[in-house]
Amino acid sequence: MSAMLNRSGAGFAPPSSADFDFKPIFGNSIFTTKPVFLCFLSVILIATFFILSARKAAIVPSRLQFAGESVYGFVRGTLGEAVIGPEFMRFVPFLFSLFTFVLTNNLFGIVPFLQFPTMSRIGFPISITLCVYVCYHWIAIRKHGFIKYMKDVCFMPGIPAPVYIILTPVEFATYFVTRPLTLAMRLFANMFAGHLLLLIFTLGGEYLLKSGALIKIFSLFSFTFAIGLSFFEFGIQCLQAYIFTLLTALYIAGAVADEH
Amino acid sequence: MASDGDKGKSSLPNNNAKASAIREDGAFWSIFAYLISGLLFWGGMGALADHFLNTSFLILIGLLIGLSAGLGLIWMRFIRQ
Amino acid sequence: MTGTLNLVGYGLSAIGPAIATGMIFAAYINGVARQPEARSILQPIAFLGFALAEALALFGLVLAFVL
Repeated sequence: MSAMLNRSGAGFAPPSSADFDFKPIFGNSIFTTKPVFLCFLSVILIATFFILSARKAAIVPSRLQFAGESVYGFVRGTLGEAVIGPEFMRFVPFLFSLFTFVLTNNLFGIVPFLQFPTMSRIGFPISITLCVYVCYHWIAIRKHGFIKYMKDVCFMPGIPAPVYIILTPVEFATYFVTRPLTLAMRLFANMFAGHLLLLIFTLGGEYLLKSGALIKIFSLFSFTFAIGLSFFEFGIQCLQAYIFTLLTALYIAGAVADEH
Repeated sequence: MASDGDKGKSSLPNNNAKASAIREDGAFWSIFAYLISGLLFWGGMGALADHFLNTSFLILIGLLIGLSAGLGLIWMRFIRQ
Repeated sequence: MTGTLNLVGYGLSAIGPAIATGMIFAAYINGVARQPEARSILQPIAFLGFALAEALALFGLVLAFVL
């Protein structure tokens, strides 16, 4: 229906995936677009926050130190120790930087004037998923040796031999294709859909505001919805950062475990 | 968020329950991954076979094999203990 | 506006597994909340129910694209 309205002239143009393409801010390179700068900004913000919060560490923490430490304590306790087990301390820096990076980049989606979750461009989730992928396979191969790891992954004990023809490819595909793929897709799809949802309500409100006198009132509903959904999005963004790090921790836990 | 007060105590049963709840969460995503990869792999095999043999029923057989392979793996990994 | 009715059909058929998954988890959480030591008994049953409901949903998704 929206396509028909568009064809007839001045109609509401719904947001599409074209709204996620940005022109380079300067030059003609894909490395100078808004998401890339947001990514750099997130690194600067995270570094500044945690350096400031850890610089004057005291036994009675200041408010800033308490904020920094509670994030660290959350990642270390809930995602590190509870999931990975006794060897967790080696992986806490990785999990912590992953969690803060994903969380900050997601939260850019509802910060005024930035208003773009970096993770809604598929390249960013894929690249951090690649880090996770290399990390947990490398740990497992270092621990068990390549051949034993492959045997553990592909051949379950206690099955008659002919069944392996059916089950082994599925196991292999799960470990090496589906798991990283779903890890990246889940984060990307949530951020993409969330940003699109906010765009629909803000652009719709703007369009209603431009039309006739009586219809202007309805734009109020649209903007109210957009603000309400921003809070909803805040929840989703935190949850997705948590789930991403949690699944990473679970995969690492599977890699350091003695048997699968 | 885990408050820092809890960390000092770290009562064991509570921690264990939390850990097993978290593993459960991971298990649900693993179940999902097994089903998807079973369907994709064997369904893809069926589609390829259809393409080269000029038939149209093999993809259905492939999907059913993939579904049962995925369910079988889930049965062995998570249910039979 | 163009598209295929398969996706509408899949959207309708996804309602069933969605409700099923919700009911499975509701029952599981209820059971564990009432009797925490029953978790190890209830867990495989919840996994099995979730796997079956999810299998139907995914099968529908694949068929929506294939047919």
